Amino acid sequence: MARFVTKRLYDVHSAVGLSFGLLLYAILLSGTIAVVAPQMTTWAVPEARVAPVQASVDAPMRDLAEVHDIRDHIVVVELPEPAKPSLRLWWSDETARHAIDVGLDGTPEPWSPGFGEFHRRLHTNLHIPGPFGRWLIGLAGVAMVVMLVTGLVADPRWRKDRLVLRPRRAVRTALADIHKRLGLWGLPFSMVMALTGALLGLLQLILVVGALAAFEGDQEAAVEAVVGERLDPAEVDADMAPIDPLIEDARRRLGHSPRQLLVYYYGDANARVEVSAFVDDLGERAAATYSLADGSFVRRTPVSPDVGVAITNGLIDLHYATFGGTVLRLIYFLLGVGGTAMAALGSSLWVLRRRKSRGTPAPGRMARLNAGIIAGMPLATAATVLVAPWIARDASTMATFTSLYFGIVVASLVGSMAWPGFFSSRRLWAATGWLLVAAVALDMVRMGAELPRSVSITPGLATSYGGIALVGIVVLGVLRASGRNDAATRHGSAAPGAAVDDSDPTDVDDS
Amino acid sequence: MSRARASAAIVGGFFNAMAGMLALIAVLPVAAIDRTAYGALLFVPLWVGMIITACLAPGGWAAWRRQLGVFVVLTLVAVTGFFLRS
Repeated sequence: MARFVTKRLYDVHSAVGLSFGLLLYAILLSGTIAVVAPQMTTWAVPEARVAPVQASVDAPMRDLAEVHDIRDHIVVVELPEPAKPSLRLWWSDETARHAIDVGLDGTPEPWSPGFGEFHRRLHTNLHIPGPFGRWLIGLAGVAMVVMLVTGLVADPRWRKDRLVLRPRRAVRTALADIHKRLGLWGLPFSMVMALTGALLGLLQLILVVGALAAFEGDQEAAVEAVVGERLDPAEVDADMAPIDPLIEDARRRLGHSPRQLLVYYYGDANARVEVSAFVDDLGERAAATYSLADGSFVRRTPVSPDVGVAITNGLIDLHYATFGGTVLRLIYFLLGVGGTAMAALGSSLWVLRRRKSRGTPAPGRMARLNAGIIAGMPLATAATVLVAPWIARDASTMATFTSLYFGIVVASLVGSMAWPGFFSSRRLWAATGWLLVAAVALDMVRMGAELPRSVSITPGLATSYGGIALVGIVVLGVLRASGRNDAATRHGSAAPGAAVDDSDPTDVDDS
Repeated sequence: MSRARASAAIVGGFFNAMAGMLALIAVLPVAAIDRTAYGALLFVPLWVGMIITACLAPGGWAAWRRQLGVFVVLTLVAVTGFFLRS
């Protein structure tokens, strides 16, 4: 019975992996980049390579109110921080989301979605318009949870083999070991990401049904319970109290540096500002609210007053690592690389198993498709990293990134299918590594004499240089090491019996 | 995996997860907003559970029968819960 269950779960793992593996790979890779995108702001936006200063919120708010009708809207103000030294104001109306960045010279500029936003959208909706992209991501999250559960249960030797790596055995065995160990040791992180990702992707769908059921169809009551008591504009003009002193007052009251402001109905007699900050390392937020009509303090609240909002905030904080700084995001990045490698190895293992079962040494269509996508996406990502500091930030930036990224992915795919010898997986990976190293070298050359000063005043730039170059060097190093290992296996210098042993004793299918 | 089993797992599992969420929202003795949150949280684990249950059924149509049985039970719980609340 146990053997039947194990075998069946392994079949489920394979079937779901085959259906969703490459999609999950794309989602995990873009998520891994998106999590460090805020830290790469100084890389992608050369104008931001200046020391962060305390920017005034009042002047841009007044400018904004003069140009745009924001009296009936909520304006979100993201305060500057070392990794993102500009002040960003954004708001949504019935048609779209609008944003402006206020540079350190105080000049407002229309916000142009760039490198970070491209990868964020790729991760959250695959650039598919409407809610369908998010729903697809949610479904992929569910598939990932299924694969994690079945992958663990279907490997009866996971406890005994928890530290086993056999790099000198046959390729399939060596890769299977890495796939399983990455899955096992990264399981807590992968499970949290998969569960929160699935929930965030499907939240819109399930909350509507759930809230309507819980509130017996009373939509207004449901909305009020989620977003809190609604304060409507008074529709009476009023002079606004200065916001900057209120931020300082909130810093004292909350005991932490404010991160974000919500400005309600600026210019109206009912205008308020809610200044929020993280008050502990687990992402718990608190806020101080002030009336903007007279600058009086209204209340200090946890931003999460009930379970519903707390859970939603918790999901977002856990998934996007918003409750920590650069170190946390780097940890997320490394764990994300592990998860991405696990997905890539899973697909490659399926191809190797298929090739073995058919007894064909040459890579088939699936193998070439697999190689084109798995090696093509990092190459396209590296290309976006390379061009990010060089292209102008305007309304066409997103289109440039989209064309470049998908153009390279399609070219890699077509090349791998049509000319597998030239567009080999190794060549594409090598190109990825060299592009990343070249990206740092080219940018350093462009900075010239300005480089030491820029690095000293913007710590984020040094982190970006180091991180990008390190990833490139690691890719090239792994390629070199795996090439040596392959050569050793071919010449019979590996462990006795390794070259002929292509079975994987931990695969239930083989046992 | 047969088409019948895959559809039972994904489609049947989705509706069962939805029914399970509604059943929880109907019976939990807490505020409406908290019931919504707990229900939403349960949705994904329920769907995953239903997928795995369907895949362990002895055949594709057996998987559908199993899903249908679970759906009937969860719907009855939800309907009874909402009826008693009203």
